Amino acid sequence: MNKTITLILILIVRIGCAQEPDQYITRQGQASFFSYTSVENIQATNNQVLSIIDLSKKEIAVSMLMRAFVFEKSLMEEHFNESYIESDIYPKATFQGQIQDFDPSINGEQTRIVKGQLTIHGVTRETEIKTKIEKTGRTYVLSGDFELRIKDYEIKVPPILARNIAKTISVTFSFKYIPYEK
Amino acid sequence: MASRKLKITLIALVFLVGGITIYLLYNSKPYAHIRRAEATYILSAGNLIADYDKDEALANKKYSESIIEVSGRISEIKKVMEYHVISLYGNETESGIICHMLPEENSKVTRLQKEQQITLKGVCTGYLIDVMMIKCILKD
Repeated sequence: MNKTITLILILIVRIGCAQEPDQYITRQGQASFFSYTSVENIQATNNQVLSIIDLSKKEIAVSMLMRAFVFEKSLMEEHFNESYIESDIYPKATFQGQIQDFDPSINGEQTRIVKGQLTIHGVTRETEIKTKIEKTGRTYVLSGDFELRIKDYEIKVPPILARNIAKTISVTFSFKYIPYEK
Repeated sequence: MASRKLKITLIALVFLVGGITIYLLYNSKPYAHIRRAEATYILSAGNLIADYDKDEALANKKYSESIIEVSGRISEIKKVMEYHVISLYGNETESGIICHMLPEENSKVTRLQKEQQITLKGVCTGYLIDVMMIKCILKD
C-alpha cells in the first residue's frame, strides 16, 4: 500500500512538467489532532507532512509518518505509537484525492471539497474534507479541519483507558505549497 | 488489632508509592533521555539519505526510532509555532533531512546560519522525500 502511494506521488511529480509548474509541494506541512474528554485532553502535532498538488489534474497526495507526531508527554507518545496506531506495522498515514471544482487561477480564497481515500492504521476509507484554499502570488495554502472516529480505522483502546481517549478525534491541517521545480 | 493497623498502613503505602510512580511517569520532563542517551548511530546527512535511498525498509529497521547523531550543512531554518525546524542538505539528490528541534534549543538555533556545518542528535522517524528527525538537540 505504502509503495503504491509513493509511486503515485512520484508519478504526480514526474508527469507533465511544462513552463509554469503544475506541481506544488510542501515538505513541512502541519497536521494536529486533538482528543477532548472530561478526564484529559491529548494533543499531538506533526510538522513534517509531505504533500503535492497537481493543479492541472486537481489532484492532491499527502503522506506523513506516524512517529513524527510530537506529544506533550512522552508516555502518551509511546501509547500512541505502540498500542493504538502500531507505527511499526503502519508507519504512514496517506491521503489521495481530487479537489472538487478547483480553479487554481483564483487569487485569494476559495473553499472546496476534497474527496479521496484516507488511509490510517492500514484502513482506507472514502473521505470528504472541506478545505480552504488561499492563493498568494506563487504559493497555495490549504487548510481545514475534520473529525474522524477511531473505530472507523480499527484503532483499539483498552477498556481501562476508554474514558481518557475521545471516540471522535478532531484533526486540523495547514499545508503551504511552493512551486515544485526540479 | 495491631495487625489490622499494619495491614491498613501497608495498603496505604502501596497506593501512595503507586500514585507517585504514575505521577512521575506522566509528568517527567519530556524527552530528557535524548540529551543523556548515547547515539546508536553517528553518521553524515549524505550517508543517512544514501542508506534510505538504497533500501528504505532496511534503513527503517536500522534507524527508525533510534537516537542518531547526524552532521550536515544547513539548507534552511524555519520557525513553526514554538519549534524550530532545521533542514540539512543531502547528496546531489533532492532529498534532505528535516529536523524538528526541541523548544529548549531555541536560543541556540537562533544563532545558527544557513550553510553552517552542524551536528545534531535526535530520533529518526523515517523517510518520505526527506529523512525525518524529531526531538533534536544541537551537539556542541
